[in-house]
Amino acid sequence: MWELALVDVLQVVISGLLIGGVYAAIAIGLNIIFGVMGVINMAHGEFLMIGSYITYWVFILYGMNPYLSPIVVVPIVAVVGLVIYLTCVGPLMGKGHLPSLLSTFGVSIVLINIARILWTSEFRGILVRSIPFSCGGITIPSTTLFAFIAAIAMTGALRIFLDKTMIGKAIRATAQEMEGAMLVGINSNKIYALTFMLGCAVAGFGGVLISLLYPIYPEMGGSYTMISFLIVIMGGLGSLSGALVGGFILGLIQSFSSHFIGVAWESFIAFVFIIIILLLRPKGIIGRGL
Amino acid sequence: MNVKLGKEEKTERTMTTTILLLILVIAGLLTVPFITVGYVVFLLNAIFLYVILALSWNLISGFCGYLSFGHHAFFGIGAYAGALAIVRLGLSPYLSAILAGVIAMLAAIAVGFPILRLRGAYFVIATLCLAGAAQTLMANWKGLTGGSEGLSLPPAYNLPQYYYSVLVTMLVAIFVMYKIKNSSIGLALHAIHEDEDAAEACGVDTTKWKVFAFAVSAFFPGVVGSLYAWYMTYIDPPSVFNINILLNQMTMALFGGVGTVTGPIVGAIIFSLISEFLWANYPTVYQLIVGLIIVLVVVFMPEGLVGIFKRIRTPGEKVVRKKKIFKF
Repeated sequence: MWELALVDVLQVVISGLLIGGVYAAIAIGLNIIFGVMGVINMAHGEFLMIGSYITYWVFILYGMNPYLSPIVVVPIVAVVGLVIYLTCVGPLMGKGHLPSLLSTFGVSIVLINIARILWTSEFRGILVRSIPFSCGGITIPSTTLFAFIAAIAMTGALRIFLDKTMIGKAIRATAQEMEGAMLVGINSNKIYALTFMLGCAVAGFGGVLISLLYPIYPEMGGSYTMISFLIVIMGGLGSLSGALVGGFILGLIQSFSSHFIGVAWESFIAFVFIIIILLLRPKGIIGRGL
Repeated sequence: MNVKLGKEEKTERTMTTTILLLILVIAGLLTVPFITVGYVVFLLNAIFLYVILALSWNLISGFCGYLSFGHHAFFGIGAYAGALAIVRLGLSPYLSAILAGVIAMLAAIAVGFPILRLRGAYFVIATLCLAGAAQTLMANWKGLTGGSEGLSLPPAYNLPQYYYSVLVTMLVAIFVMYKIKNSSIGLALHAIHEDEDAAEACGVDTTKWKVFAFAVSAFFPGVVGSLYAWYMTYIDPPSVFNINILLNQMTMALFGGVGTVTGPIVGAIIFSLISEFLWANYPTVYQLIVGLIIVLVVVFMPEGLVGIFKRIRTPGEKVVRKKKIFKF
């Protein structure tokens, strides 16, 4: 009896951690844009939605393996991000957080509706054969495991990019001290455009992972924007490692509340949790710094 | 001296003409249901509703600079409070509307004290979450609200009554906003908008006035939410916690000009007509265009229509373009 309960809890913990890793990777896109530019990208989930749809269409039309689709998805979403940056975000840089927040909010509505018009509100999904791994009563679907590994790999790659390459260092310098970075010859406008593209590309990559696990529909982005906010708030706006911890915590909360309390209350608990975290630690649990 | 007198005379004359004009407009609006009970009344109702909602949103977001992304929750809370007062307590629709407004206000005060400490983007996220939490609570609290099946009210299809009650609410709302704007409270709110720390240092009780503004801005949506529920005779969480309500009130206030009283009114009237036209002719692209308008207004005309009008009317005067419309 007790053994059974233990296995049950372990199962919930593991699936929570796995999905939490994926959420963390998605949130990093939001986080990097905020950390460098001070822009809260309300259209983050919509870039993810575009990524998911592209994955779906290249799978359906060209039979491309979803595991390989980041090669196509990431550049396309990055270009979409560049267009959005040049038209809707760039002109508002240096005017505070709220104008760009409102503008990206408008962008999110536009993108949702374009998706509705182009692809209808129908729920779509990619049917990838998922081989469950079993180990001592705990089962892990292979798609979830793959998504987790890919998410962690992407986070690591991003970390190395930011730490080791010249462009990454320039991005970090701009985040830390914009004027100082300009003094040493870093073109902040280019860095902003690049950062926005990078953040959108991360969202697109997240879209590929999500398309393996959950249904695809035009309004799907909203909940991922919320999830990303939650993680970023927990980890501290602008902190990369904080986002990972935040993602794991959120994944655990989500899997525990949906398993033990019920799916209906899941979002309620998440919302209340965000507010409590905001009130207790407005700077996040872990702290900040890119 | 003479010049001064002339100026005073002039302002006095413009005051009388404005008052006369206002009386004429109000009288005209009062007589509308006697002339026609159809589409025009319906359209005017929608406009009044949105004038109230845009003004309310503008009070906390435009005057104070605290961008509320959860204001549709007060409409929803009001709708549920009013519907329950009518169904369970058997109160008259007017009384339950006022009760609903008070309940929305109390909810705003209760959440306002903690969340109004948060600034800028953090406040935005907190309000967004609160609205989501309120909606899920109403959808899941089956014993009280009937859950996602919704709540049915006794039928009361009386368009003129609804029309007059919304009209009166709108006039009260405009009056209150005008009074707040032109009083020491308005100054306090403006000081909070410009620089909260400096305002606090100057002796403005920032918490008190922020919560006051938030409470008043919740009262009117609560009232109209209740009136809406009474008129529609059926509500469910997705219809009264509709994100479109927030989108519209926000777009209207931005479109007209945030931080003014006339801005949201003008914005609500013009935008209601535009959206009516779009709904009738291009329902599929309606939201798309709303989103585009938000982006265009934020990027190209942050002062809204009223700001542009001012610039055209006083071409000699160099209107300094406000660098920061929103605070952070």
